[in-house]
Amino acid sequence: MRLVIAWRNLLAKPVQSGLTVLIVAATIAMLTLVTLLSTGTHDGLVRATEPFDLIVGAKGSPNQLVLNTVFLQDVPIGNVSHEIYDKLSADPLVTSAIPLAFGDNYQGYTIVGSGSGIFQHESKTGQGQWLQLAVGRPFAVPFEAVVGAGVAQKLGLKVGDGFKSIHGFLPGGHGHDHDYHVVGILEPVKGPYDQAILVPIESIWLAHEKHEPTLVAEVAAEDHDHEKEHEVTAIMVKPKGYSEAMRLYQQFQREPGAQMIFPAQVIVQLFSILGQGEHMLKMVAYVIIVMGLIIMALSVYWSALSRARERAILRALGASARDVFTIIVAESALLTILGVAVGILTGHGIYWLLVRAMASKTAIVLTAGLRPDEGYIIVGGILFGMLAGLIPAVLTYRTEVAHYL
Amino acid sequence: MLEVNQVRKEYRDVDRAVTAVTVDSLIIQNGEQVALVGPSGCGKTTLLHLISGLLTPTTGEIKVDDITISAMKETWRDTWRATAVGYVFQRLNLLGSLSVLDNLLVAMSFARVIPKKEQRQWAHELLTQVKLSDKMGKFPHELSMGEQQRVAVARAVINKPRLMLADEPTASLDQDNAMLVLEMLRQFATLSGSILVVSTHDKQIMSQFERICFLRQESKGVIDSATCDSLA
Repeated sequence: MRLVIAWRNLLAKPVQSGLTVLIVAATIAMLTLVTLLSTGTHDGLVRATEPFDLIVGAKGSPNQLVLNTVFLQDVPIGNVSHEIYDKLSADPLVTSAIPLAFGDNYQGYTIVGSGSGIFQHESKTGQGQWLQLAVGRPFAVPFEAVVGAGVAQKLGLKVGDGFKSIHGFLPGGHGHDHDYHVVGILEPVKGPYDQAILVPIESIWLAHEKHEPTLVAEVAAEDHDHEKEHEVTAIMVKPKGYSEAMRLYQQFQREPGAQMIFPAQVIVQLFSILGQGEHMLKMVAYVIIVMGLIIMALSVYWSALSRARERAILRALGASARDVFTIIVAESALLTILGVAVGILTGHGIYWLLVRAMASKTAIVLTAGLRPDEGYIIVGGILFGMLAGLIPAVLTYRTEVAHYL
Repeated sequence: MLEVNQVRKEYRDVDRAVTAVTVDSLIIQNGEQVALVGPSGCGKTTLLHLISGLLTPTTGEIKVDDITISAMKETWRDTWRATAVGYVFQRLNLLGSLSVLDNLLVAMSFARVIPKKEQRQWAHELLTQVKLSDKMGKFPHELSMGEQQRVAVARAVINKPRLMLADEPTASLDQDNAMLVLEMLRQFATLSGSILVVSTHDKQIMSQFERICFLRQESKGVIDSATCDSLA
């Protein structure tokens, strides 16, 4: 009966109860969104680097190399010679070396030239292949293409379709003459390579032989010689183990024409650089959250206080302190549970929209799903709301019942 | 038996004490039905609140069947009130968020006098007696004033209390409804052998009672003292 009374009390004041739920929901949604964005961005960026143990690329900014190779953003620094790739492939410290070549796009989606070994590449040893085919087969000959899940969905590409590549990294450049034929569609990898079109690296070389034989990447050397026709933009290197990775890294310090980087380390350094800005943003978020929690507490408090007369009537009918306490706690709990549920759903809804926007615009896939931190938000939110409801309960109990009758 | 001895209730008004009611002695026997009369502001409501245990006297004592209500702990008074007191408030104080039936079930759930499985049946029976069997699912605001008054009466008697108090129960009713409500109260009190105290300033209502208790306001305009006389 006490729960029935609590529920009916809330229904009897739909506008007030609705507003309270709305305020609680807005606070919790904000809290959820800040948590999801903070951890989702971090995890999403780190996860994107997982398939890339080591990357070899032209000398220059490691950040640019990671942005270009891992996130398919920005322009490449330059190219490295095919000899470096050959040397790495034969290196006993290396499990696999996969060449990557950038320079073309199709409707804004990066075309990645690579070897067929990319389809055997494992993010972590023993955890299965990184790129798995949903439909079709891997490319076998030049100008066959395997399309990332995101590209296939956005452009409606399917096996058997054809397209012409555009030079450069933005749509609207001059087109190449060769037709690419889609032979496979990838399963989603929940990373930037969902927005990639994979082609045999020879396709890139052949396509650029005709127009600009010296250019594989956007930024390329001006000299034209035969060797540069087979340059690569980057090399994904999978070392045999951690110590082998460190030895390779040491060896590469002496390499004049290329650099070797640990992408995960670059990301960590990037977070460290961005740390101050992130710290400021977090401070602003915390201030907003504290304000939200205060508004939420006040809302629940006023809501509970406005029911003082109903509680006085219950007391007059002989309700014990425990009865009244149960009813008030149940009212506050119902309001906050509803608000928290709506807030969590709203927070996830907004986050989901952001994930989609980020994935389509920047190829950075934020991780989604429930997080342990949300458990704290749920439990904390409900307890905080109930606590706010207890204050008027105590005040009411101290006030003479007759005052409200 | 209800005994009110040397009771005085004071309120703090800023920095001075204001006396709301003073009763030297009032004794009402079990089964007795009494009209409590007096000018507006003389302390009738305060006295009923004191008798029901909603207020505690500043001085003096109130006993019901030799139990000193005024000395009880608040939690015990709550329990005692749930089982022993049926109160028809001046403002009715029906719970607006609950249906007519639920208003009665709530009162029973706190008292725990009627076995749980019989509560619904008894509430139906009582509402039929007060001619509201077709309004059980309605909310108080959907009823007329007379109907709301009858719900308040039904709620007051639902636990078969030893003490029935009614504060101006007919004030907002027309003559027919006023007599109907009064008749119901008197009938229930007679059947259960309860004490009935009805505060009123309506002469026709007063005339229905054999005993009238008069609360006198000594200083006109300021409630600083009142006494109670029993008139046979």
